[in-house]
Amino acid sequence: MKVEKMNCGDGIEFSVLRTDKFKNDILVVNFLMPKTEKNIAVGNLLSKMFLRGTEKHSTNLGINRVLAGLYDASVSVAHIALPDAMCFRLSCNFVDDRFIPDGDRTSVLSGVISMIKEMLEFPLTDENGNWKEEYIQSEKSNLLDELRAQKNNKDSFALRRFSEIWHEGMSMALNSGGTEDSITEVTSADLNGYLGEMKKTAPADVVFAGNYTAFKEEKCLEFIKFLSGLRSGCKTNYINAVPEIAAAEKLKEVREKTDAKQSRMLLGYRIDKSGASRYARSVFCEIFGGSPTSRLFTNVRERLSLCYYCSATYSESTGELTVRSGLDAENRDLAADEIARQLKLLADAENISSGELEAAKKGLVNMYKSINDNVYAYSSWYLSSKLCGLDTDIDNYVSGVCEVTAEQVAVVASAVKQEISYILVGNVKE
Amino acid sequence: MRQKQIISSPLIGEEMIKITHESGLTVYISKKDFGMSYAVFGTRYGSIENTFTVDGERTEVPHGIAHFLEHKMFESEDGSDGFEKFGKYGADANAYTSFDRTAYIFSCTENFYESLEVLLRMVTTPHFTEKNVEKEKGIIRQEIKMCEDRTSYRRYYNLLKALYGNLPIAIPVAGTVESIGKITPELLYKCYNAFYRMSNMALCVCGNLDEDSVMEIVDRVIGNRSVGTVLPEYPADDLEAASGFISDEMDISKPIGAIGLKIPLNVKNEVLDILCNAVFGESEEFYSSLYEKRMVNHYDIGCDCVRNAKTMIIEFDSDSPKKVYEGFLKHIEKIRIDGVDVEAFERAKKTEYAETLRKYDSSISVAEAVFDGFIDGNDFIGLAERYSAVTADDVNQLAKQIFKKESTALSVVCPKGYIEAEKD
Repeated sequence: MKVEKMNCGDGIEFSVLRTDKFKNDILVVNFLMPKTEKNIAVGNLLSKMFLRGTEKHSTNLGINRVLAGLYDASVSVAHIALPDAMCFRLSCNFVDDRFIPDGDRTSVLSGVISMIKEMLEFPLTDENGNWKEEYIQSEKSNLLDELRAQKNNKDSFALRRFSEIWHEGMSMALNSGGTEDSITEVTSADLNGYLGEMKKTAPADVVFAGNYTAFKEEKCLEFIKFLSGLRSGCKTNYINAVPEIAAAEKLKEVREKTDAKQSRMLLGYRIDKSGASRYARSVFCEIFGGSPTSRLFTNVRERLSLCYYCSATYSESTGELTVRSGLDAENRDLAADEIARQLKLLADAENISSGELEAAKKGLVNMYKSINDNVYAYSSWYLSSKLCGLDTDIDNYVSGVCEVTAEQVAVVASAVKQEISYILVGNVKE
Repeated sequence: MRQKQIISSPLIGEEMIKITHESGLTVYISKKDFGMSYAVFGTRYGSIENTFTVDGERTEVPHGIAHFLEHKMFESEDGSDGFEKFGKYGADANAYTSFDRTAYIFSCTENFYESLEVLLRMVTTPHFTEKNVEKEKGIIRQEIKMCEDRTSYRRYYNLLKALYGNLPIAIPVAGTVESIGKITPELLYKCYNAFYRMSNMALCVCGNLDEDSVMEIVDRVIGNRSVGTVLPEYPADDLEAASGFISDEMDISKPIGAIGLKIPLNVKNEVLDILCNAVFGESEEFYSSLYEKRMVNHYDIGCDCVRNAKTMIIEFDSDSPKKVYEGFLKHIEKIRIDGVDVEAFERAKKTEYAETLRKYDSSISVAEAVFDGFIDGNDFIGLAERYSAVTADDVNQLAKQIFKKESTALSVVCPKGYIEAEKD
């Protein structure tokens, strides 16, 4: 899929991923907002209030019924944490008009666009512009429940604690669920303030992916015009989604306890980006812990039988490498030593076989090309890459990865510095 | 004798090839203009096939053995690893086991036929030794512990226990730390030989593929394998005997619940899906009124249709799971008497139609849906037509047949010390 981009002015960009391969289309609207503790709580609440009703459809049931009548079209509203910004996302997924059965003249796209326009322009407020207090309290209560429930899932809880400790003092440490205080303090005026700022000054990205007919083009352009109309001539805020991160001066070692059968170990590393290309960093991560043929999988899991999973993920936007494993606490040192040993081995190109290198490159090429083949994956990948200021052309990745050498991988491995070691210890003998 | 059919869905303009190979293997080929191709090679064998008879010899095996066997199929006699072989061609491989199936899968954008040969050879050449079986136990123990830490896992299996007692369906697919300790290479071979027969298996492929190239590999690798007689045993279940309530405690912040309803095995899945959506879907009064009253959050509905057990399940978070369950019982009684609202029925049909269309949007979802159909004994390609044929009468008759308190149970996982408070 190739992207057609249009700068529509007023801080609004419109991208079309044109393809008729699929039976469903996607329309996504992203607004980029500053990341603060208060904004997280207000945006989270607003995302829930959008689905409670609009002036025309005054209940959640009313909205759901309209969407179900549009062949189960979905309009989801999410408030997503980026490293240094928040993304307020309205995303719609709906059946392409070609597949609406004969005799039913429903235009699904028109119905979906009407719904999100109502959410943005005519939310469920009274004559004074106040949001329904009963719904505010109800959704605050849901947000507080979700915040408290973070400890229920030990994997994501460990990851969150790991990130909070690693990024202490930075916006990346903020809990994307908000805090008890910040949620409790949100008022109707805060919701209006956030919505007003979002509509008038937030950088906005609109993406349509699917069968882009002349009729759909007309509808999408009408929608862009509607968004421009909300700007009221205000100047767009510039928001950088990725912060400047300084390398840590010393290793943080943290051990916490939980009531669980398994312990979760997370190790955090920073990769110095000056020595090699981003493609080399991707290939390094793939060889190190990115697949079932990686060093971590074949050694920590298969050879030593220490865990069910031991994997590494790398974020190019932050330069951070994270290793995760679930194991018995008594095996923590054995696993950590093996991980360190494999990292050291990769710092010498002699230890990287041509078969291993080629398999990693082929695996990545397969992954990138697969994104191209799925309208949901592509729109999601395109938006996240764009928001973090990364290249959005998949062909560039494919050709870049194919050219990586073992020497370049070794350069990356030797530029990896550990910054944190975290373990959430379960109820097992140590 | 090889048999080939072109099967199609006029309603949504799709077709695919179905071949019954000489070996008994069923092959489905869906040609789609996707860049990524996908293959599933699987068997009608899962965690519920725990007791079986082969040529008169009855065998009972430890819980979790089907899943264990799936892990071990990635190892070869020459010491090489299945993932490594797929990796050579850039394919992304994996496998999974559930109650009634085991599947080996890969996706790729290049070298499909080479990867297909790797898949077929890997699954048809088992290699189990004392050493490699012992090594796997450590890995699977960690997998079991990881799952046992999940609240949704505890809620789900407790619900099945309340509904089905000690039947194999209520035992976790991976077994327990204790049960997998009893697994031996001999038992693995017994299970493999019993259930990895080609007449019990299907190969489902989807992508920009050539039929002759696929079948050339099938002919070369599978050949004409012999077919024995295997009789799995499925203990009988009393549909009107569910235990009503089961609870558990974990380190969580608020209770989560699941309501289950046992369904007779002869009920058509399509009618069941539409009934479930028309009564409990998010566009209907039942969910909406609970949400408005702040009684549920994170609500989800679904039907688990397994070879020897069908269950409708509603999962939710709630401070008052018992009140939600009472509301559920009242609601099914009302629907049983009054029938399903006509507009709700129409909405549910549209929802299922759209859901079917979504499955055609990637080679993964097509091949997986085709494999689901093989396991259920229905070709996926006719799904839209089958949904379209369901009438309001079908749905109302089903509601009368299945909506009975005696077939239901509630599973609750609470924060420690919460159970007393819930009694209020």
